[in-house]
Amino acid sequence: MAVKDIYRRFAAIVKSAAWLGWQLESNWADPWIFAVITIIRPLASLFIIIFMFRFALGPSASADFFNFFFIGNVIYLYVYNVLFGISQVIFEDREHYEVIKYIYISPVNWYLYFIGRGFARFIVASVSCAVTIAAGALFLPLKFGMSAASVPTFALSFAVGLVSIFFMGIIMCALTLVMARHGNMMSESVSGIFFISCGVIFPISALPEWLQKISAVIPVSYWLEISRRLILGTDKTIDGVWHGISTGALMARLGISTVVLFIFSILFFNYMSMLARSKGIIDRTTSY
Amino acid sequence: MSMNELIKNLRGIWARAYVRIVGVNREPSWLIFELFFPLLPICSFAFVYKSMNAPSDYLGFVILGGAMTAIWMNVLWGMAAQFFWERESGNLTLYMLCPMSTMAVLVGMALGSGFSTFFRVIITFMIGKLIFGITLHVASYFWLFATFILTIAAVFSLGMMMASFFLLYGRDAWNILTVFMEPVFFLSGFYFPVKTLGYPLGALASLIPITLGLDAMRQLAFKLGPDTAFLPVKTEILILVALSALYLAGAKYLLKKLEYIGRREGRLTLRWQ
Repeated sequence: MAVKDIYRRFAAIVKSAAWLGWQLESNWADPWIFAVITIIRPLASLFIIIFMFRFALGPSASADFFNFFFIGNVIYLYVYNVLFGISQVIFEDREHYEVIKYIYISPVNWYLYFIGRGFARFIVASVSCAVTIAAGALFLPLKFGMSAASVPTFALSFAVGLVSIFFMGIIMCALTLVMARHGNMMSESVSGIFFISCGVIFPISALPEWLQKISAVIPVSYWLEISRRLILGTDKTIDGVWHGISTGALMARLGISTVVLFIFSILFFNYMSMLARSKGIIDRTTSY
Repeated sequence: MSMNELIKNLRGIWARAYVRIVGVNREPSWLIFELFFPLLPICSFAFVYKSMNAPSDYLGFVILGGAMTAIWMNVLWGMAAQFFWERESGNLTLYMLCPMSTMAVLVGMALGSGFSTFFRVIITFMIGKLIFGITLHVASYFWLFATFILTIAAVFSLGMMMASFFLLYGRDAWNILTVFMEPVFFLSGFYFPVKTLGYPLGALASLIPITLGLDAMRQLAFKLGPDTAFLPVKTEILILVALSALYLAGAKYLLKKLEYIGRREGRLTLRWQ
């Protein structure tokens, strides 16, 4: 089969899975109800932090703090949605709709199918992201200074960071394949770990030192710091952990860790699929 | 209600509560996920205050609020959405066939969940207190405990009311429930005192019993609590009692009404909605 044909075939799988995912995400409600539900949660998350700042600092809250948490919060929308969304697919297909066996025996690449399903959550996250940015621009004293020259670097870091989350989602998905009950909680927990350890709403330097060392090797941490630097048009943020490390070096770390994640996700997903099949638990339902 | 019926309903309540109480002992893995998971956002929000060099009582506010999220999550997913899962697994029909009121099932669920959640909240709070070294200045242990119990009672009454909607609705109601997570965490002041919202919004948020419960508990447990009070503790306790009664009556009314509609439209056994 020619490379072009393989590409077309892979693209068709991802497209079909993404369409299926989108239908499942959105077809239970009128579009306007769905839109309200999609935007209300991220807005509430944003307001929680705004009011925490307002309570603790009053009017003296500096723009640096707002800029820092706002960018982290927006990027995290993708982390949570994609990571949780991909592993959730296993539960939806296996336990709720009980269709996973039919998908398994169909001529689709399973890995690509799950990537495609993750795209639906990516769309939801993008809508939430757009609304959050609009709300931030209205209610917060944000000061962004991204130069035109930084746009391509930002786009590249965004794409690589996003892809790394898809690969992490596949790893979660692979684990969920062999878990009966706790896959759901596991992906929530991993998202929660990233929320606390990657400096989403506060600088990593506020964490205990031992945790800072772990935080500094997670791709999401690189992605957040690169995004903050490029959007704010600065070479360092208020997070002291990254001082002395150039944006280029962070990009290299993000790129290398994403490649490692890609290779690991393929190997791990294939191993877990085989394990689930050998144990006869691919279509197991637990009514849990 | 005759004595025989009362006994049957009490047995039904115990039967439904028993599953939840015993289930906690038979599922030790909950310790990891149901204690560890709520600790993550709690720690994150506590670190936000820490990064601002805020007083340690503010960290205490977050830890108490974060621990109370267990109650709200349990009400949403363990109470309100429970009839959705029961219908999917076929148990709902069995409940209807049993010689007892559906209300007894809900009360049993609430009691069982309330029991397990009670310990979860206390353990989560104690772990958080230990991690961040929070000092409590309890004004009255009796009233603190009474407010905590009243809050659980009022919130679970609200959960019972919400549960009745799942006799009719499926995936739509399930998705709409997700809207009651972060927005409620915001409105009820889980991570900051509700007074910060201002009185009109705070008054609206008081319809969610956890808002006043949290505010009263912060006043009773922390030195800076009274400075951030939304209403006096006694007023908040009285409102909590009124809300418990109101939501319980609402649950009874809605359950009867929606069960009737569900039976008439044949939606009680409908799966994969």
